[in-house]
Amino acid sequence: MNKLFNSTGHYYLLILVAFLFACKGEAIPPDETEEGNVFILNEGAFQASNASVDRFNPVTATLSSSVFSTQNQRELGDVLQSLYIDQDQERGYFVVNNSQKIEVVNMEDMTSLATISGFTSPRYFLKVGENKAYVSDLFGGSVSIVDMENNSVSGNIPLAGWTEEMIVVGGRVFVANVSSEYIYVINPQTDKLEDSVRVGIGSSSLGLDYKNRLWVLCGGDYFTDTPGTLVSVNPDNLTVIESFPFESGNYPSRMIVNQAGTQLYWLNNGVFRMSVNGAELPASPILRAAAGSYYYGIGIDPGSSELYVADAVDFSQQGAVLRFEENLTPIDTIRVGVAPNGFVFN
Amino acid sequence: MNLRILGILTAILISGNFLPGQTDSLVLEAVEISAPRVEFWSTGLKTSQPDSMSLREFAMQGLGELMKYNSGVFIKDYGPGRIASPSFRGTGAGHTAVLWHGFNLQNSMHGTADFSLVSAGLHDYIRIQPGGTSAVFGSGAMGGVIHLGKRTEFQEKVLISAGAEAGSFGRVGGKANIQIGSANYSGSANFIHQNSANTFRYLSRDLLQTYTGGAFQQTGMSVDQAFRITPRQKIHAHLWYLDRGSQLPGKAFQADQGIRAALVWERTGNRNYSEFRSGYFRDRILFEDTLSSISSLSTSQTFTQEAETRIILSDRHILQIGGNLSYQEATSDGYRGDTFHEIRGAAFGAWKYHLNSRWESALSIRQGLRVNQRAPVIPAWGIIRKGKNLSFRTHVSRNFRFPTFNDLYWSPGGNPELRPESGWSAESGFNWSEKGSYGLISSDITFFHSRIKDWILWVPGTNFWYSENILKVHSKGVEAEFEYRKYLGRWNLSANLAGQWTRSTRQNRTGALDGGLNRQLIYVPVYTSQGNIRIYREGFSVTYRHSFTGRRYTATDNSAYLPAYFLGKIHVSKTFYLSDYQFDAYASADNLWNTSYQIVAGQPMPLRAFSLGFHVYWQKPD
Repeated sequence: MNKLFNSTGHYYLLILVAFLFACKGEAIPPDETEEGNVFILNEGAFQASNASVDRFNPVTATLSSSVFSTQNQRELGDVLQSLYIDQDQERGYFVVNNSQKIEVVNMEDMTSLATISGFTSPRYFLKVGENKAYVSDLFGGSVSIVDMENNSVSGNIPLAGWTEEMIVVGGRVFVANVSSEYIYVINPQTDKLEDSVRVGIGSSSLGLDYKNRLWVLCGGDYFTDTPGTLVSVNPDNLTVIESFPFESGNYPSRMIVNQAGTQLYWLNNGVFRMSVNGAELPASPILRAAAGSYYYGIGIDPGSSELYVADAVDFSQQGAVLRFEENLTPIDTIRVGVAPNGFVFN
Repeated sequence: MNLRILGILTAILISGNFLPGQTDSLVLEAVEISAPRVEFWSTGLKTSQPDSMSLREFAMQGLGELMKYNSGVFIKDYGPGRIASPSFRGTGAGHTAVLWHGFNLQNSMHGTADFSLVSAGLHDYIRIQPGGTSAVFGSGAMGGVIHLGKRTEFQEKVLISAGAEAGSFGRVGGKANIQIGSANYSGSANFIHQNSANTFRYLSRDLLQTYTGGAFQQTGMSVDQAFRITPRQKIHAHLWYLDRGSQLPGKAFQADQGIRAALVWERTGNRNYSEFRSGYFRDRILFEDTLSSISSLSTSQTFTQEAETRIILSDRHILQIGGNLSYQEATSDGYRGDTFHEIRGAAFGAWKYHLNSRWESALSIRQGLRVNQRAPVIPAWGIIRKGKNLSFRTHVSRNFRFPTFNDLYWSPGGNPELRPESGWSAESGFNWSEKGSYGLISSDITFFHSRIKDWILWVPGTNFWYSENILKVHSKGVEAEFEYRKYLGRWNLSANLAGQWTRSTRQNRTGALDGGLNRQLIYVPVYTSQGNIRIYREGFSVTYRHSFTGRRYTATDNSAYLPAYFLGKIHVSKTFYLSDYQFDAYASADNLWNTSYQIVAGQPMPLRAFSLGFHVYWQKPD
């Protein structure tokens, strides 16, 4: 007993205690978790060059703001439209619409790797083959082909109108086109436009369900009073399976499909949900925007199935992200950058 | 009896115009009851007027440039060749009335007057009057009023002048003017033209860049004629034409054209004054963007008639009554090509009570009408007490602004059910001035507080943005000015320093998540300051101007801002005489300290710029 309190014993005691404290202090800081991050894309205000991307950790509910600018000591640019993550290379492609460029980053720490320019008004980026990607465009009248190895535009595929989201199904690339009544099919081996499917005016979002049906949300056209339509297409024979027209005055947007491929969600003055086997459009939203709120984006966490809703408020102040459980119980509200429009889960 | 009234009337004129920094050549005509409304009914308010040397310095530039150094008004300027709009005391661009010969130049479609289209050199006087004066000037005069025009002087004169100016970044300009006068006639014609490649230099992320794709050219012309038909009656006509074409960033282009015409008949009697005026305004704005294939044309026309009469009831009371009838029409691609028109009218009256040489008060009232909508009844009351050195003034008013055509009819989003914006404002001020062997010192301080409700904002809705009477704003602040003048033998020194503190905040939430409550409005700096110092004698002057603009928030919840900045400007002018010719040569440096700054987020502003010019005058000898 006495030996514990002699000078040598003191040292052993100290070392033991030091070890205990040492082990305790080694929690991994949230920024370094490799999985389970939510990237919130903030468009910013048009021409103000204040687009940003925030990273949210849903487990600790902590937000890291403006992770691109913090890491690279410069602004992201003007109007961030979308983010595409190439899992193989762990690279992220930020499509900055009004800066006419794409920022390529290392997804681990957001370090800028390259900037791709040569676009008119780029919207979405999609990897379509080994080291090849397509980029859709608002005003350019074509889909750009990007060489992902040297990060440059290698060519373009003429496609008149406002091209939006794209998806690869069965080795073919489907492209939505807001200005047209068709979605288009491109062969990524030849980079040639091969076919089209008539769906309705204003197609913007694309998604695949668990039965391998391609869902297309058409937003309609306000200026001709043509409401939107929700259409399911067979991607193999390019036929329309089902078509759900919206009632007059409805111009829906931002359709997403859940991880299991069983539910569709979209925005139409509120958040709507429909089963992919549903017989008709839902009559009422699952979430309605309160006065003074403007729902601008939705996302579903593939792991936890939590629902994220982006509220742009007035497009000038900080936006808000509302998080809900799958059963729509509210979890929390986080203030983010200006005009959040989408989520990417990584 | 006539002489006594004359004396009182002269005193009344002076009482409305006591602020230092005045014109160096205020002409006191024989009978002052005919003083313009902005002076006559400004009891309790403060009016400032940049002097003629300043007007000449800024002749080729827009009104905004002149006001950046000569007033506490914040000018929201998008850059050279582009729109510049005013913000008086934390209010919006639509809350400043710009009166040209008494007619409000606020465009019926967007409700503002683009200051960059108003060349300072086309006007003889520019008077700046902060404060709510809807009772006198009608819809839109909520934050302040700017009064522009040409003086009519019936004297023998023939004056011809021409000049040219060249500046940095590819700017060239020319100016010509002719004035002819006699005992019964006064006429002038003016021409200003500017052409600029606008390839200015600016800093972006510490890298020097050159602005490209922003070339512009601008022309302004005016013709003014005045006739003294009888010793008591005069008629004057004014025509002003402006034209600007600007290239805009992103391969866009905008062309602005405007015609303003005014015809005024005035009769001054022994105990009364009457005026009848008629105005016609036409504006055309074409905006094109090759990138997005947008081409949008908007045209508007306004036809206004106004009549007023002032009667001297006794040596203490003056009464005024008047009416206004206007027709306005606008067509725009923004209204899907439709044309909208409306008739507006107003009846107004005022009473001035001149107790003695120390005390005076004025009460005004106005009732405006728009199509099937009645404006609120608008009263205003002001009082001034003048002492030998110290004066005190106070003014309370109700103010309003009718919604614009764009707010009502823009497709999509316009709201025909909009109510007028309205509010109350109050201000008090002290002015102290003293002249001695040390020179002339004067100082002025004003405290103001304003409340506006039903402020129209465009807010995001289901499928598009729409306009709504949604905001309540409180605006309060303090404005202080000091002026010093000294005559030093051959030389004169004049210096002034002004500072403003403005807190203009939202008083309500637009929604549950709105973080804007009690936050400063965007683009309203809390602190601003201007200083000018000039040393001059006959034929030579050096003027240095300095301004400070505080931080401006760019997000409605104040989560982002543009930093504060200082700007300096120096102007040197030398005059040579050669028989009947006067030859002015001048040089200036703008942004002398090479400040890198932005007034509007994302819009670069030029670094240091130089300009050189000359002007030749020929006056027919007496």
